Amino acid sequence: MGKKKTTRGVLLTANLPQLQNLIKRDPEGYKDEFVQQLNHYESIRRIFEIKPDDDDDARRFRDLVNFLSQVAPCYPKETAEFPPQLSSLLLGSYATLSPDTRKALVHNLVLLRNKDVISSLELLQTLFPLLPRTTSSTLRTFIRKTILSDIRTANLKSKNHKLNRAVQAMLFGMVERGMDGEVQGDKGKLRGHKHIEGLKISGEEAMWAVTLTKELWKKGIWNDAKSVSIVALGCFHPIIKVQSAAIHFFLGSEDEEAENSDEEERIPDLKHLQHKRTVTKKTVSGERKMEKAIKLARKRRAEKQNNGNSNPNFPALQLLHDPQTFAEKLYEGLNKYDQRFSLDHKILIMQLLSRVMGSHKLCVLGFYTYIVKYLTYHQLRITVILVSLAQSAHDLTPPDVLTPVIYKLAKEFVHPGVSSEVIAAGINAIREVCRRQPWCMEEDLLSDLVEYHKSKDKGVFTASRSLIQLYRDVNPNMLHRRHRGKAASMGIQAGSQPLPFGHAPEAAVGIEGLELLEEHLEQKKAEADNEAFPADKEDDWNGWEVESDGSEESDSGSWIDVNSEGPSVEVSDSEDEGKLAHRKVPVVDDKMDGDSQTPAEAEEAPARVQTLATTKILTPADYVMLNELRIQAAAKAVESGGGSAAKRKLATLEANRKLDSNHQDNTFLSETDILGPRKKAKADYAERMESIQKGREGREKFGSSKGKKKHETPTSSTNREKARNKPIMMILGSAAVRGKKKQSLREKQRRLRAHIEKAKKAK
Amino acid sequence: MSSKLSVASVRGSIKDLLDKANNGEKRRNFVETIELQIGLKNYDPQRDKRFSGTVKLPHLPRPRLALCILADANDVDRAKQVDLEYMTADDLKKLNKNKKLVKKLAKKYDAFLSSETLIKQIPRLLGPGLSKAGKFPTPISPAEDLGNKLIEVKSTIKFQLKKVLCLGVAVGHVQMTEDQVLANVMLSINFLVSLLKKNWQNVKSLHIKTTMGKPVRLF
Repeated sequence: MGKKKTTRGVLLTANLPQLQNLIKRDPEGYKDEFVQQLNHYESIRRIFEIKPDDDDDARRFRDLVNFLSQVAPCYPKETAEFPPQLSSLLLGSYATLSPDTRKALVHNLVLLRNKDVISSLELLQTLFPLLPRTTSSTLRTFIRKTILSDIRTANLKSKNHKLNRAVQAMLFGMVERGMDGEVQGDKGKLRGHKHIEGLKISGEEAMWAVTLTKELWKKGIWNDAKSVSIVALGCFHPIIKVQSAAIHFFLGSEDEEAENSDEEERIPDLKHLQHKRTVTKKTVSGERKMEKAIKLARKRRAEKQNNGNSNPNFPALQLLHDPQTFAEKLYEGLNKYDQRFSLDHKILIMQLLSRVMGSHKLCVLGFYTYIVKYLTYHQLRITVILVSLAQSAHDLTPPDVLTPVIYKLAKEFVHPGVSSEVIAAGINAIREVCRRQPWCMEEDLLSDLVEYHKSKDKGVFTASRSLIQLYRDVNPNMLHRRHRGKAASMGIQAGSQPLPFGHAPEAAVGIEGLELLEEHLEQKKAEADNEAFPADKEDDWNGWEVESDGSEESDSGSWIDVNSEGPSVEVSDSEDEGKLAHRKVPVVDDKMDGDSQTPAEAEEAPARVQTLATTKILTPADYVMLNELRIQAAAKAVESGGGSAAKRKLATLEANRKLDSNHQDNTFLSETDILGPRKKAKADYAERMESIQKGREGREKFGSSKGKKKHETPTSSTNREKARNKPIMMILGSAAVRGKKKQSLREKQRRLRAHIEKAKKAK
Repeated sequence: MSSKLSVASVRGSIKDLLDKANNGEKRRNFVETIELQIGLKNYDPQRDKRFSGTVKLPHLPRPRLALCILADANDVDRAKQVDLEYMTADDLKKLNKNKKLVKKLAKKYDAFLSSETLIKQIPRLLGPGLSKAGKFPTPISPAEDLGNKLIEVKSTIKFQLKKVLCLGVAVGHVQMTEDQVLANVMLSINFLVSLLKKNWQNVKSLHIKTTMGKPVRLF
């Protein structure tokens, strides 16, 4: 018996996988063997700590670690020390371990996490510090994927706030650790500069923190202010790479492509699935999967439509904590390290700064004096600089700081000594600034710029005209009388004032177009009066009233409204019929308190109608009517020669009706806004040939289809072809032809007749 | 649910509300304000444009609104005449753009007026604090009558969607008559709904309540 047991022990020590198998089946029975292995592991670990470079030992050690982590869930008490030992070994002597051992240790830690022996926080605490230190790219991607998927699964059902908070604190610490270093530039000599070793490590750490946060944000797993603050801190990191990655996060510019390709993959191929469904066995679960796929595809498509154009990271910008300080710090960095940063990086910072200023309506006044020095037409990437200048302006920017900038722009860009593209860009930039802060313009400058509306270049005159258009809308008093246009002049005569400083143009005042609805209702009512009085069909209206209220039979005030509601029902039933049927009810009982009887009604009407909004709750039908009427009014204005402003109004109304949510509000600009429309230059020879070649690609050569068919297969020529191709001189000399020439008249006639006979028969 | 918003029912709820506030057991020692609370739906404040709008109500909703004028020398005299609190440019400079002080100032008053000459310097003097609180001053020109302007500002309400899908505005107080409250409530509802992209389809709920009372659901 005893002998048997020892053999078993010997066998099992040598064969770890078998022991593992047995232990999993019966943990209690094999406890002794396990303890033996554990002791063995302990001793090897001690040796290993002293001299980790022994190859043989390392292999033995890896096997043991594999074994232990497999069976760890069976003996939680005995292996309590095991996971911390692994992580301390990894963190403590990472550099001295052999690559295989590192990999094995990391994999085992993940295994322990999967078996729920350690919490994800413990795992992440080990993995995060490893990321910047790993040299092997496969291991790095493995760690990264593990981290991401771990956080994702933790947040799958509901947000795991505890974990998120801990991880975010860790990431924040990783960024913060390197913050006190000296800023390294990326310009000139400094470009390839070797960083100091400590700084380099902390830089990589911060880089990873920023990258991981970005990734989690993009996947929608983290969308809170804390993750934004990690990246926001990254914007001031001394290492340029970290800075630029963090700034790109807010600008939302770099990862579009990657995202798009990702999205493509994730849209399921419905055609394929449907086909599969017809071929394979039909099951309930298959049906369900199909439905899911259809839903997903629809959702993805909708998403794609919604963000077809690149959208900067709006929510992230909104979630910034204390944007004013953030912007001020950005500006300080920009100003202080002006000499050290490369132009590209400075432009990145400018873009971010201007967006923060624009969306939070901040005033960082130093920025405007700073940017002035870049405003020359020969500056590299000037369009982007102009874009950021324009974005930074908003309705609360003090006009007196913008005015000098605009003057500088005009002086540099808008004069006869430069090309027309430059002039167009200059005027467009001025227009964009003025659109946001109209008060920064002065009358004499405006009149100068407006003179360009007669330029011969398309870009220049459209820019100038758009400037005129802008001031017609916001402040026509600044324009010369002949530029004001009809609507604006009439507006001035009617005493309309430009919006005062500090008031955004979006803020609506009163319900637009309500007077139209009032008029309409009044008109309808008048018609109804004319018709209804002579007829006076009480029973008809009784029916209405029963449906509505039934309480007050003889109230003449109520039916007028019912009647006036009639046409609007017709208009809107295309929209939402079901809702409308209900909607009739509230309208009807509106005038129950109209105490006066029919004679008094005529005088009462106008006063009542003017206060429509205060006495009556507008129904969906009313709103549809209102929009309809506004469009009608706008169309009328266009017909009666209201000019382009009227047309534009009509267009926006029409667009609103279709509920085009795509049209974005114009806080952020693109370069094309500044460049304006440009005339296409004539193509040169190379370009023409290229386009010709492109046109030929993938099409057959022109020519008869019969010929092409023939040339496909090589065949010998027919006798007919040979005869056709025979040299003419040989034909002329042949007996057949010469005989024809020599024949007599009689012969000729005979042959002709024979020919005719034959032709007749052939018919 | 959506079919039940009628003038009669609104009138009924207002009547109840006023009745409870004025004659109920728990009559308060101050004039309660009536507030309209709106819940929205099908709206993504992160993506869709956040709307804002101002409308002037026919009846003054909050007569005791605390106002302050940021005044130049001329307007200081006018403010003294109508017992309006004022601050001069020097006072503002003393705040020194200190965020806490500006926030305190914004909290102290419900709305601000400002002389036209001064208003362009406000962002520079105070930073973004006032506009963040939604209390950027209304300009007043030397020609306008200060008293009328005050009433106008007091009776103007502002709808501004922030990060969350609900908003509330004061539309009256309990000492107004039923008809006055009704007119104010209806105008605000109509105006709000006209601001929304899909009008009534964006409205989830409408409540009115007095400061200390229970909310009453209208819609």
